[in-house]
Amino acid sequence: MSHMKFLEIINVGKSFPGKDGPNEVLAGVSLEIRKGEAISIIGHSGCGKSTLLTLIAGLELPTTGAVCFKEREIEKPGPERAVVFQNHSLLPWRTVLQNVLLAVDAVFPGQSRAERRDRAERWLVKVGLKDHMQKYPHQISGGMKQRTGIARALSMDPEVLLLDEPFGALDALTRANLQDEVLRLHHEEHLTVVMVTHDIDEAVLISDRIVMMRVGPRAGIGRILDVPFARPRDRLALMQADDFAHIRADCVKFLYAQHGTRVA
Amino acid sequence: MQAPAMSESIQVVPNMTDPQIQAASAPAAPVPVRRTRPAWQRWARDAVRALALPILSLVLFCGLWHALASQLKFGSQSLPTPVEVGAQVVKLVQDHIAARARHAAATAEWRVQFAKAEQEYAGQLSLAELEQALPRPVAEQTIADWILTSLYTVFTGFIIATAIGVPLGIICGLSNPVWQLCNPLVQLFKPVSPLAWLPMVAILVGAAVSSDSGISKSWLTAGIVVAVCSVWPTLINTANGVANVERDYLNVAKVLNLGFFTKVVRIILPASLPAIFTGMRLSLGIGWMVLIAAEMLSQNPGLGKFIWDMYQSSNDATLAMIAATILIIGVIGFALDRTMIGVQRLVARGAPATVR
Repeated sequence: MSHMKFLEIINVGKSFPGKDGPNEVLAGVSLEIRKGEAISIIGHSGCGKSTLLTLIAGLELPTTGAVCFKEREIEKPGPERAVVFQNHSLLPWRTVLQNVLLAVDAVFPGQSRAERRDRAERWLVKVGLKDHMQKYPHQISGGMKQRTGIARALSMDPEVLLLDEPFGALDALTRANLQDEVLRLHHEEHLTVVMVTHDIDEAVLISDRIVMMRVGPRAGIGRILDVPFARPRDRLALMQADDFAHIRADCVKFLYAQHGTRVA
Repeated sequence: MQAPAMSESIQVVPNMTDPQIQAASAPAAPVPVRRTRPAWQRWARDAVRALALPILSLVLFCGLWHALASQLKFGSQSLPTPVEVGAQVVKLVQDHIAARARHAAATAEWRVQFAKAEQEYAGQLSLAELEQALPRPVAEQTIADWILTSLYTVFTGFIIATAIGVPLGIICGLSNPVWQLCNPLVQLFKPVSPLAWLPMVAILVGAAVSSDSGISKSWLTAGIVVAVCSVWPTLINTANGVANVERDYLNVAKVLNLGFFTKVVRIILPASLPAIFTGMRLSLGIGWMVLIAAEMLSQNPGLGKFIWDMYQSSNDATLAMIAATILIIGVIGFALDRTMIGVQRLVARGAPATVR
């Protein structure tokens, strides 16, 4: 094994231009993510957790510090860091299959048309959309749209899967289904997963470590919590474990304390 | 796989035979099913609802018009009544049918004459010379010809406007500097009346196109004026549509590392297609308005020139005929707009954009 660091956030700060001078969203954020790890980032709204994810994705560049992937500074988005967006952002004029093909065509231009189609279909089957490939986004449910988004991201053969509050808009049952799906894909495909979420149960269920953000402005990492459950994980067994309740309580305590500082 | 089938049959058999159970279940049998109306009935109801108010408004308008026309006097002239105008529309159609019949008869007559002459002068005159000596009868122009000429001219202008407006709009939408470069010119030329453009265009076309080239100068002049005056909505709407493509879609392009060309073709163009078609629809509407003025001045033999000729040769029916032509122009403009809305709906299918 090489000692190459996989994904590293080094003393990152991010500010956006505002009315009265720059608006500092993040400051002094450092985090190292190992290959194959599942990380959740939780925190109150507006704490800059989505911003942190866009920095890893390369959609934005940090104002200070650096984000490195395999010891190379990230300067732009790339297929090795695939993003699943909060509002699925499927193109409404393309079918489910065509939406995935858009990604496959862009990332594997060298492959034949049949190979690319094959790859797209394979991923759609994997996320359970075998019978819905020819439908348009407005013809399928919210959960299916998000599945399509996941298939589109994974069809690029990424090394890191970035999820930006992916299941926030879904009902509880659909959300649970998709969480299990992510859990399974993380295990089977040896993915590294970084997920921004509001949902503490989701964070505990899916991640190896939970990164809790302090509230902004100048937000940063408040605490990192280890989630030592063995994999593959089973939702029901996990929910009944004593440790689950403890970890959950820790998260809630932290968030409550943050809320207190914010109000005061 | 057999087990459920068996248990089902076991349950069904006693149900069918046991009179007690049958009796008990009998009152529940006629479940009140709410019957939906057949499709054609619903269609007819919708059609009546969709048509009732427009028809009512037309009837009210005609009533008001009739009352006004019979009351108001403008010196020796008075407004034509709806009935007089309707009569003129009928007359236009009848004239058309009569003219076509006359032309058909004249052509048949000419064929006979021509065949005779062909035999008579065989070997002495070529076919071309013969045709010159015995020309094929020319059809009289009727309302159908004027309408077709007008449509042909307006689409000439519309196609020129689209061919310029859409690509230029895309470039303006993609690049803010280019837009800021173009914007002052757009604002400067957008409000210029077609009547102001026409003399200049007519002079330039007259100088550039030779008379024996076979190209109709009046058609080209009117077409170019239509293009110049109607290009703006297409240009502005395309630029706006392209500039305001949803951020999410652009993020997708970024994450996928799409090249510039792929991004434009796969994401930006489809996303702004509804806006582009809205612009084209507005352009066609303006083009149709501009056309009538352009035809009057350029003497392009369409509906505009017909109105102008009516104006010049005033007789008793002039006003009614002009009003009839106005109605025809309105109906065609309405049909063009509806067609564009149809195309727009087709294009926007699946897209979240609403079309009005």
